[in-house]
Amino acid sequence: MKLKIPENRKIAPFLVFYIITSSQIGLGVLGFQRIIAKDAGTDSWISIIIGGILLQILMICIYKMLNIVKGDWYDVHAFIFGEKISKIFSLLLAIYACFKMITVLRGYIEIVQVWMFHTFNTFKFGLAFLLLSVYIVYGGFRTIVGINVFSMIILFLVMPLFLYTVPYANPSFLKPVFSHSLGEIFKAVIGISYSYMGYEIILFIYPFLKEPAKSKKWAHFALLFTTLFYLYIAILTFMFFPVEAIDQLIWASLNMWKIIEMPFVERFEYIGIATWFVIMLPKVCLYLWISGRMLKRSFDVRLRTSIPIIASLCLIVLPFMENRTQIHSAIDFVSQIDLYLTGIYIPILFICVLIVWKVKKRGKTSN
Amino acid sequence: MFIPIFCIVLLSSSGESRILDELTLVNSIGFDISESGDKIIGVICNPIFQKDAPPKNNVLSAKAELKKSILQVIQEKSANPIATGSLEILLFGKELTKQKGILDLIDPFTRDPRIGTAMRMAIVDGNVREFMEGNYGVRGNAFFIKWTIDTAVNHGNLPKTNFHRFLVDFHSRGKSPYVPIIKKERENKIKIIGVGFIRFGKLVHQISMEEAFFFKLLTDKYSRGWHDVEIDGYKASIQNTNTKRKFELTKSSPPYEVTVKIHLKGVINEYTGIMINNKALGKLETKFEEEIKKRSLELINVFKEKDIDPIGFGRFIKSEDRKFNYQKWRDDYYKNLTVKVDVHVDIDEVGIVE
Repeated sequence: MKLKIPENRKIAPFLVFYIITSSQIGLGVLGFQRIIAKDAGTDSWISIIIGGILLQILMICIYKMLNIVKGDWYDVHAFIFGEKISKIFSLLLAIYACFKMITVLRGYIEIVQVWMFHTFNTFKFGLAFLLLSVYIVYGGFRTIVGINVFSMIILFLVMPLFLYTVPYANPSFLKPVFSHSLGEIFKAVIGISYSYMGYEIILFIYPFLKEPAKSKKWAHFALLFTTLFYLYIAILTFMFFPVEAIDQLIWASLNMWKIIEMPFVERFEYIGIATWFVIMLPKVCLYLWISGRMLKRSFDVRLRTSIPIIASLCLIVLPFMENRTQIHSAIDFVSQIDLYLTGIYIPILFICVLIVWKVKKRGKTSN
Repeated sequence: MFIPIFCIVLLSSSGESRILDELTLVNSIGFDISESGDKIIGVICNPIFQKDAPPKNNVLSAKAELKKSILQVIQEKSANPIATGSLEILLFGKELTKQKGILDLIDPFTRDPRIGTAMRMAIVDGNVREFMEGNYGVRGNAFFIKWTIDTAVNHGNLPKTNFHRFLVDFHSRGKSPYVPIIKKERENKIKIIGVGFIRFGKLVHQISMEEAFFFKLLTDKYSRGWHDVEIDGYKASIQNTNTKRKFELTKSSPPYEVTVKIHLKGVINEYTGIMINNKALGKLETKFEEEIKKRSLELINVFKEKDIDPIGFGRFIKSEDRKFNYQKWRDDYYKNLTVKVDVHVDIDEVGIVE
């Protein structure tokens, strides 16, 4: 069963750039330094590059796969396993998207609670955030893409603020280069996989692209941008803090803003964190939309009915994660799933699709 | 339409409100040791803004057991909640730094998200409460102290310093932190009297501002400052307008040898002799070069004796030598480190008279 997307609900190919970058850049940026530096120290910027290259290869595979199937992730599963099993897989993907959404939202609320207001109410803020997200998702896929573009523009404005650390930068902190073994550098690649997650969005939005073949270069360009963005933040961080201190900083990127002194703003982080809301928003909207969409594909539930239900379920779960340990174990859990998805599942899927495709083609020619 | 309005109403109730007029906006905090030596005195200073007059400096202090939160005790004395977001100055009493160390006291400042790392940090020679009770400048004490430190960094002999730099030096292996030392001169005057060096949180050594000129040349990549040179019984005051300092690892296996290359550009601001000609200038330059070399090496030897490394030789060698062993460096290599100082002085201008 293939769904036809009407032409007026499709999007221009270049918008793929905004969708992928805005779903990749989010919570991870604020604290990935500690996770990668744990294994590879200041050499972990190499891991960022390696991760970026691996992702580009993966993107080639994904596009090839989608080209064969001409559909979304549901169709990929249906292509290999058939419709019935695909329904189960899609349900799992919907649950994964919910998980992702919950951790992103809770992670952001935690930052607000730690950095700004200690008594900040998780439930109330979650309700407001999800109401807004439901409202956006009701507007349709094109509205979500609009929010993506908007959040990226905000990110472009926030980016230069990290340059405030340059007067304190100490390039010798990066030396000696290659002082870690290859094994350690690859461990750091695993560490950054959570921050790189979000490229898999393309597996859901592919049917919504007007000219899929043209969007390919934009997808690669988006991955390049994210890689360079992480590289930029990582190098600035490693020059700003000695590697011995990065270990203790949970949100190193926010710590970098502590150096900013402005005559009219005493603490700049407040503005930065509030702005980060706009950067988090499209992520939550996209994952909400994905879970609704997967339910629609498999059980034919209308998005208008499924979205509020999913959102309220997530809202109920949200306050149950109370402290740092719980939140971080949830994030760790999701990043484990991410890792298996990126490293094992998608490559296997790609190989399977290739095999099935070859078999089907042979079947056709022999007939 | 309904949803946005609902969100606004909802969000306005989900945080705490803090009204600026109803806060005690602390902009300097100081710590001192009690006379008996078993308690810590915490002092805060918050400006009280007045109409058409400089802000009044309101000083509150409290005594607490060691390692107890002093802010809490002070809070009990203050009518409004204390807000530390605009903290500019962090002070420590000299006796406290010498006897008890400041490590435990610094921890809350690194942990608190509301405290900026660009604040200035200093050691007070004398009683901290007395120091903070003075009335300096037109914008309150904190800004006056901050600007005094900044001016000394930008135009004087004080090497670059703030809380962030302190923390970086403190955390990174192979460099010891340093802190400026200030003193109250009169009711409305303060003076930076030197630079103090910290080892494991305790003040172990102190140099005067005159010596700090050489320390600044060694520790800062680019520096400025003032120094007087005596030549043939005349005195010349040289302003260091731009100095570049570079480290070179001339022997990259233990015992290490580091060459410090200093290229100083200066102008003469004051000369008690009659005329400056090229010959005198050349002589002056050589004299100055020799003096920098001699005094820098003296300084380095003292640092070695006190087992501190505020210039950061350890950190430098760590970044150059892949086989660097920090433990051995601490135990052995630092003591046997050879430092060579290679100075080149260029005095370009002599002012507008010859």
